[in-house]
Amino acid sequence: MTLASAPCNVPLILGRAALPAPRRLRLAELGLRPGATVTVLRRTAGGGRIVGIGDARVAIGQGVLTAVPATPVQ
Amino acid sequence: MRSRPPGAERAAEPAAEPAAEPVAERVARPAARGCHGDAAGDVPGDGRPVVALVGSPNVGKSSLFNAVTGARRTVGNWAGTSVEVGTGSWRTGDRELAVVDLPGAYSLDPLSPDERLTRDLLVRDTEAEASAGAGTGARTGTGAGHLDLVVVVVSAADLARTLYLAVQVLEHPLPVVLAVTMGDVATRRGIHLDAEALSEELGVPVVPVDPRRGRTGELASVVLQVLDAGQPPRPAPVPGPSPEAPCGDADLAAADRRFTRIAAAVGAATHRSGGSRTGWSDRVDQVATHPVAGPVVFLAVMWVVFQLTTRVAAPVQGFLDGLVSGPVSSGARWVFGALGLGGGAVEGLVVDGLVAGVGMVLTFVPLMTIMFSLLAVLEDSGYLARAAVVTDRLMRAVGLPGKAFLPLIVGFGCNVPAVSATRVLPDARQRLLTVLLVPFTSCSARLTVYVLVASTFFGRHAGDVVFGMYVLSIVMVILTGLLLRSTLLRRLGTEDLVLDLPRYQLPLPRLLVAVTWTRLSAFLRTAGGIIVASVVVIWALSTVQVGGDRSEPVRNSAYGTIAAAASPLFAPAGFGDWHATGALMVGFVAKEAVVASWAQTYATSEPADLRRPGGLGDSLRADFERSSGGHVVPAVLAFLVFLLGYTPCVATLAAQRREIGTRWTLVGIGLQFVLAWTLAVAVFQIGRLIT
Repeated sequence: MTLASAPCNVPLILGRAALPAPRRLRLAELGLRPGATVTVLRRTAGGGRIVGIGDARVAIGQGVLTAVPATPVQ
Repeated sequence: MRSRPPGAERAAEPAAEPAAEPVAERVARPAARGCHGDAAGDVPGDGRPVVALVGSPNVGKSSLFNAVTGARRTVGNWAGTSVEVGTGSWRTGDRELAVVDLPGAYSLDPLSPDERLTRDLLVRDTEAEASAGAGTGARTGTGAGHLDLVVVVVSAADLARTLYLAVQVLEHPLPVVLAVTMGDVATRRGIHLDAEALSEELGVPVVPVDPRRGRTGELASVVLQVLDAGQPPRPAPVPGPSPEAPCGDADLAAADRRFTRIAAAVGAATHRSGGSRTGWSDRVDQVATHPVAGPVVFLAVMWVVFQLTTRVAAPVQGFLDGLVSGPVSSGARWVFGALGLGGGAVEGLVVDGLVAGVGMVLTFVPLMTIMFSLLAVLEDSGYLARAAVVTDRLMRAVGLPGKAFLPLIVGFGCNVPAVSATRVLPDARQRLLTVLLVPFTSCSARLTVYVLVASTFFGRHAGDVVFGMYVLSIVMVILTGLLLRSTLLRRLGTEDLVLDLPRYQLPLPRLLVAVTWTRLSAFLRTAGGIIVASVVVIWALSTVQVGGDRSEPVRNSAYGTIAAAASPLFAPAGFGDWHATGALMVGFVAKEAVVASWAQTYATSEPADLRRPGGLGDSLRADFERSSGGHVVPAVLAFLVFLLGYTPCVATLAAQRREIGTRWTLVGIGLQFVLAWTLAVAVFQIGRLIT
């Protein structure tokens, strides 16, 4: 499962993103790093998602969403 | 309160000045070359200590800059607002510090030119210094041109994320003070910060501030203490590759170690007592970013912006225009008459040149004020980030992020504020592309010409033709964007959307006024002179007689002579006539003046209702019939296409020069002229074959 296919409002644990290192680093700086717990809050116009990381909200486009693996928190 | 007094020991001054270019000089350069002209002033290399403000987007860094300097640097609640380097003076007691507001950055690992600038100013300077012998530890004194202290601004409401940049800065040998903003937001979320504990964890002073309300706490005294007394050496930095090395696994490993350190610091310095962000901000987002409702809300907001910037400003513009061209000009003529200078060249220069030029600048003031105020509201409220999300996919087609939609929409009202509105874009190259595309949006001034020409030549189909011009305008924006991306701007990034969404907040009137005034005054300073000079030049050209028959003063003026000389250029497009060419020349100054120019050159009156062109229409029909060899319709369409695409008005050019510099402005002029001419010729030649 990736963030693109993950259901909304379900806590998820992120895996290692299949992106170039600078992009992975930027995601990490925004709190989207392997092991972090996030929640996909809603779909947006244009196929993106808004992801909640604690109190923060990050809008993510389709290309990045499909590159970030996520598994539901057990 | 502040925490942890600065170390008492004062480190030795560097044995020699480092070879690196002084920060102040590098910082001053953008303003010197005319770009981003609302910088609050250069950092003079006059011995004042230089304090840099750095921080992630949305932490209130620019607000803090305004609070300490009163310089009213651009403030906005949106990622990347501080896309420029602002400077100012911070007076505290009998001391004066030079303050540099560096572009917002999430880290010292840049992904955009603006972040790279921040990294370069912080890291390269300190590394050069270290290699020159200063070593890790304090560096104090008044080394003009170098950063003497860095204030890292972090958010108490989002401490873990905003500390990343701070931790990276701490790995470099500069005195650092941490300013913590948004304590009120954190408190509402049930987050309580222990500044003392955070200071102990990081080894630097920590000062809570509330810059949006002008409260800077003990920041001034702490900064002065650190500047005077120095700062003890900090723990060894997290090992990592050189900043110049390509980003790879080593960077990610170093980042992990920093995150571990940050987690420990946040854990020790904060505790939660319930509360959650989920509230009205999330509820608003459910509508504002909804796949269906989001675009509807966005279009509604854009409609309001468009209407306010055009319709509300219009009567005020009309009043100012009437005031200048009426009582002010009449009064000036009366004065010249009383002085015995009436009717002379001096009167013409002053009244028809300078007064008319200043009048034109004045008419832009209400338009720009409304535009900048609305922009500030959208920025400070946090909505602009949502608009960027909604329009992202559409704009990405031409290599621009969603937030570029706003200036392009505004351009349909007036290109001048639209060019200034590109400042909402954080990436310099995206700004450049958008500034080059804005003139292709069909401003309301061009509408007056469309209506007159379409009513004259197309009768009941005039509305269809005008609508077609707007569709063509959108097509030209897209095609030109694709053309530029595949030629001059090939390196433009196309990364997928990753955008931090600030929480919504009520804009503070004090900040809105400050931002609007900053942008308006900068526009008047940089664009006003060019507009006035251009009006004077056009007046002079139309006044100077180049011989010939005095019964046709306009035709035999320098203006008419140049228009006649240039008209063969447009013969392949079917409108190689000096009247049409002259109107396009005047349109270079202001598209609003094209109809008046025609009325003047045809020695007829300007129609009160553009849909009933009367005698002016008859003259136009006769000239287009003659210049097109009987193919009037394709020639008129070619003229309209050229009018849409060619060089924008001088006010837009002045705004462009201010944003992207002279070289790119000239590139834009050339590009537009070539595109417009090529399209116009194609329209006429193809149309001639069909009709």
